[in-house]
Amino acid sequence: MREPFPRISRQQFFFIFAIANICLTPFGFPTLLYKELEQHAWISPLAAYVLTIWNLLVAISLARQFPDQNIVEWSRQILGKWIGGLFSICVIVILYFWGVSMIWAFMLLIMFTQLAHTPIYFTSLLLIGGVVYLLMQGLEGFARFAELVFLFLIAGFIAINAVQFTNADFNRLLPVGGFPLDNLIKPDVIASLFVFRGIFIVYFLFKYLNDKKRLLPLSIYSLSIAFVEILLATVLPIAIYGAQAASKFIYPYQESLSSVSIEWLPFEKLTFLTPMLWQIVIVYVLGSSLFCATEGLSSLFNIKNKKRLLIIIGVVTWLIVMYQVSYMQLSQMIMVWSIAGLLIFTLIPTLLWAGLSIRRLLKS
Amino acid sequence: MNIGEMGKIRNIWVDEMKGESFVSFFNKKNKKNNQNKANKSDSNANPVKPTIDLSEQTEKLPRSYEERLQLIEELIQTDDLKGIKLEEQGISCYFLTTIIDLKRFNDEIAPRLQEWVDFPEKWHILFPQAVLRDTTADTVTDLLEGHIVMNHRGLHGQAVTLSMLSIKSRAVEKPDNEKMILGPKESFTEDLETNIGLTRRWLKDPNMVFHYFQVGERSKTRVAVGFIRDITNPDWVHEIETNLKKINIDRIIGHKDVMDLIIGKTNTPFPLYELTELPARIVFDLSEGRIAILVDGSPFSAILPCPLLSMYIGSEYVMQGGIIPLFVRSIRVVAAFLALYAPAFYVALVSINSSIIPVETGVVLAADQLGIPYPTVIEALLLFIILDIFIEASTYVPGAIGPAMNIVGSLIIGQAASQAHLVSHVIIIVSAITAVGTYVTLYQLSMPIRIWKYPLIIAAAVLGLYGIIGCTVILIAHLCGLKSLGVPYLSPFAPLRWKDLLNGAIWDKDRSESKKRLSMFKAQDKVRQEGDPDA
Repeated sequence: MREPFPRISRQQFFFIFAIANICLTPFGFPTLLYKELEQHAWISPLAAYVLTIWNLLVAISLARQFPDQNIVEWSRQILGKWIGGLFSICVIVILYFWGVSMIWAFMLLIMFTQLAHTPIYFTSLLLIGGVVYLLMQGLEGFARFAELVFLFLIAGFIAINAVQFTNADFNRLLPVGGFPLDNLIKPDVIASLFVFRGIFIVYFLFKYLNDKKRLLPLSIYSLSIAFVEILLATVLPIAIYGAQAASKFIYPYQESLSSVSIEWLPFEKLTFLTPMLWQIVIVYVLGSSLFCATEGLSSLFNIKNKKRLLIIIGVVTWLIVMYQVSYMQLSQMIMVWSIAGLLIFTLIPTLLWAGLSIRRLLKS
Repeated sequence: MNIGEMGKIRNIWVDEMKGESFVSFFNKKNKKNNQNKANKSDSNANPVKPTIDLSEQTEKLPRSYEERLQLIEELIQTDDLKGIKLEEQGISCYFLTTIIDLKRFNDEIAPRLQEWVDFPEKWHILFPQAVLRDTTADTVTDLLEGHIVMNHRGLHGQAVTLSMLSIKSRAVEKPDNEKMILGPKESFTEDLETNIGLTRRWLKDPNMVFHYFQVGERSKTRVAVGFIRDITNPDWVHEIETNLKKINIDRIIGHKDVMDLIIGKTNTPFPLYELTELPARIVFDLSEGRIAILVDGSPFSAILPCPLLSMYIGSEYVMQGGIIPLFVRSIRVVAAFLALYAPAFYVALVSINSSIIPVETGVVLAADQLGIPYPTVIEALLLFIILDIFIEASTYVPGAIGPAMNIVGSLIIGQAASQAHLVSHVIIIVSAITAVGTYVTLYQLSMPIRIWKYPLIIAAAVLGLYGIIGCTVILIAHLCGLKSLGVPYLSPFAPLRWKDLLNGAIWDKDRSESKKRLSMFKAQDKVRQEGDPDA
């Protein structure tokens, strides 16, 4: 009774999409923005949200034109074998690096938080091993995991945000006017437009959806959940500490949470919960990243044994994350990667979409 | 094959059965299956064959009376074979003394043998329930299944067989494993017919059918697959029956062998089929579109498909309304979580993540740990291994020794170990919570909980809370990958089916409103209840 082709429901897609877009962004992301945009840092997620809706429109439109293929397969049809292949490799590398960079970010977070005695390499080994095992259960297994844990995660996000409102003073976001326009074109700020990179998994998940109707509104609802979380992660540290103080922290969101004392629980602070919450978020992110990389490579090189490929990718990932990077190195890498991601996932698909639309118009 | 076609096959089967005993018919059917099986898989190497393979004894019975007797005695060389020979009259009766009703033989058969002497062809008048056999295989099979094999010199190449099967069986008793407080108190026995009869008493639906199979080349164990024809997904029935027909093994003992062979290779400690001893439970499950598998000799019925959550539904079903059953089921889920996670959390908090504990609590735990000569993880592993040994001891040792061992283990050794500073006081509390929590759920489910707590303890000892989460990810990934007869193991949570959750899968919110069957079982007839029963 094995199904010949894995299928995921719209509901499961919604859950994966929302958490993959939240990612670990609330931690590293705001710090750089506070330095450049101060109390106006919220503009950046807003701009990224608007740009991502456009990207979604393009992505879903392109995917609909090739409903049974992923981006690697259809890009080679449109762009030809070599240029399409090169574009596919860029797509795979960017989505793969997404997972790797988030593990690095997570390892730095472990070192930073009060669970510092934890051996970080074993943690990453266990995490990567767990995700590879999860993906070996098939896409449906991964989707069921995403569905099962989603409500727990949402409850966790509500808990860690709601408590911060007790100390928040939103007057610290004022004055609203007087944007530092010059700073808007700085690389850090431009890179932050790639913050909702989770949407690009649609290029690989689309063909597995059992119902492709009304996908754009569904994706926008899901994206909006991520947007609200990232906006809160940007705004709450400013509302609690002020923009200048918040810009001094490495992880302002974690610091703003530690400003809340929970006296009725047998724990010192609720901050210990957040790394565990992010550990589960990482499963979504790494799962999506490794899935896309496996799908992409198997399509590109016509590899039939996806499980073996997945294990190889998992081992390579673990070897990569053994190389420890500093916070600054990671920030630089993420900036370069984000700008490359914008080029590959915003500019090129938009051009492709425009080209295909014009060709269709001319034909008709 | 759809249900309609299966119905036709059943009708043909019933027509073919007329005039024959069930067992003899069954043998024929099974022989056909075996032949088909052999044709299909003649490339399969080395089928399981006994030295005397009845399926190969296809030749006719010898015409000579003496040769017939000699053949039976050569084939069945057992001391409980009894042969009564009336040499002068040319009549003989063979039977296995251990499985037939000797009183019935003396009362019903023996007095009529004299009348049979002169009129061999009138056997069907003298013995109306008897059948005529002309092959060695049928005759010997009948003999092994509790028939009297009667030979007459006047019947050339034929023997008359009559069922006198009588095996002492246990009476219908109260359930041992699934306690019912306010519900029915009868449970299955080891007899297949009795078990099916008990089920039929609850459900007088002509659509409830049982298909019989014979499994095991040597054991010839009877297996029945029960389902409600117009509710159950026919693909599932077909899959189970096909798998049953494919089985080619020497013997089957109880459900384990049959279910392992039906389900195939699994690498999970989680039960992929549910075992119940309650006829009422079977009826409950059949009416949801599930399938029951009964095995002769087993006082349980297996139920498929088996999502995890269905095992949390028990005797609380009979309680009033939806709130009490929901509460009881929630308590069970919480207990399972405690049993699984309490030891790991204790180890993580004491050994790795002690910084998140408030100072006052930390001081209490540190004082409790003082003087213990090994790390917390060793302490925990030692205690939980010993706990599992005591659980096994109290479960399997006979009679009153089990509870006595439990008391010795839990009270005396626990207290002594604590006083000797070999284990801390808190871990004894944790182990007590674990032990109780393990058994609040179905017994089958207690095993994976007992097994999975060890990796969690080790992960917690190495990585603290991260280890617990990492291990939980692997556990959930494992559960997400499991399916029972194609139904995801974590249904209706993943994939999420709200209506199922509120229609009885965990909460029967309002019985008058729960009009549809649980969608996860893909029932053909989706409606459980029409209209408003209160109207």
